[in-house]
Amino acid sequence: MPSPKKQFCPKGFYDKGKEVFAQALKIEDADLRHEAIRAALRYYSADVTQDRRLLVAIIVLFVLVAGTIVLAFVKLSFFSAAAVILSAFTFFSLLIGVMLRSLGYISETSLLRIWKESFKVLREIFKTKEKDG
Amino acid sequence: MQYLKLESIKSKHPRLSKLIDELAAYIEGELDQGRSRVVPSLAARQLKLSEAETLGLLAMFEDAGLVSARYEVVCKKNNVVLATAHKRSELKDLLPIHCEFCEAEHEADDVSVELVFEIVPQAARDAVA
Repeated sequence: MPSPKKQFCPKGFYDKGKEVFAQALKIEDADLRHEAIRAALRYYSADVTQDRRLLVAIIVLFVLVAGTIVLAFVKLSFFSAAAVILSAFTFFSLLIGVMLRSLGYISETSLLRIWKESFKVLREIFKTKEKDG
Repeated sequence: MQYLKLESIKSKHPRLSKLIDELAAYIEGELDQGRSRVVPSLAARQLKLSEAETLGLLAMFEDAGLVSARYEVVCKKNNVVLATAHKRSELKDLLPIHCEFCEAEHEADDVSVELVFEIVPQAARDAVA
């Protein structure tokens, strides 16, 4: 997998954007304030496409989790449903992690850490379930 | 013709006429000194405005076709422009970027990105003529 090179702009660029945006809000003349805000947004605008992709993917995953919750409570007992929901959340968190990695937002190390922690949670859930069962 | 562009900015924003004239004069001065771009922070200092105000004025000039925004990727160590992009979305494709001065590949942390405005020479000259 490629390194997270899509980390797009140095942090200082966003800081600069924030600073300019704050200055723009203080401008008294309404026309100039409007133009200055529009100009300040140039520091942020380019990532909109990527953010939108990410947003859509998260919404889809969220709908899947919500569907799983509904289905689990309809079909299963309360405790089984709770375990399924926790598993679903963990699994979808892993998918989000993979998605963030592929978009270059996080490094491989961070992804592996997420997976490791998620598997720990899953193991605990299944251990508890085995004991209950 | 281009003078009309400057006048059209002023007619849209009459309260800003003085600032628009000052920025136009600044741009003309830059052209006289052989410079082809306006760095908002430097222009702001010269015009005694905030950077946001200067950016706002430059945005108006851009709408009128007198300047054109671009992003410059600058090596932090040597302060040299390594590449330019007209859209910010193009920046991510530039990294990692090779720096001949450092003889190294630079990632986002090694460079800074500056928003500058390229002067459209004839349009700007005509506008302040």
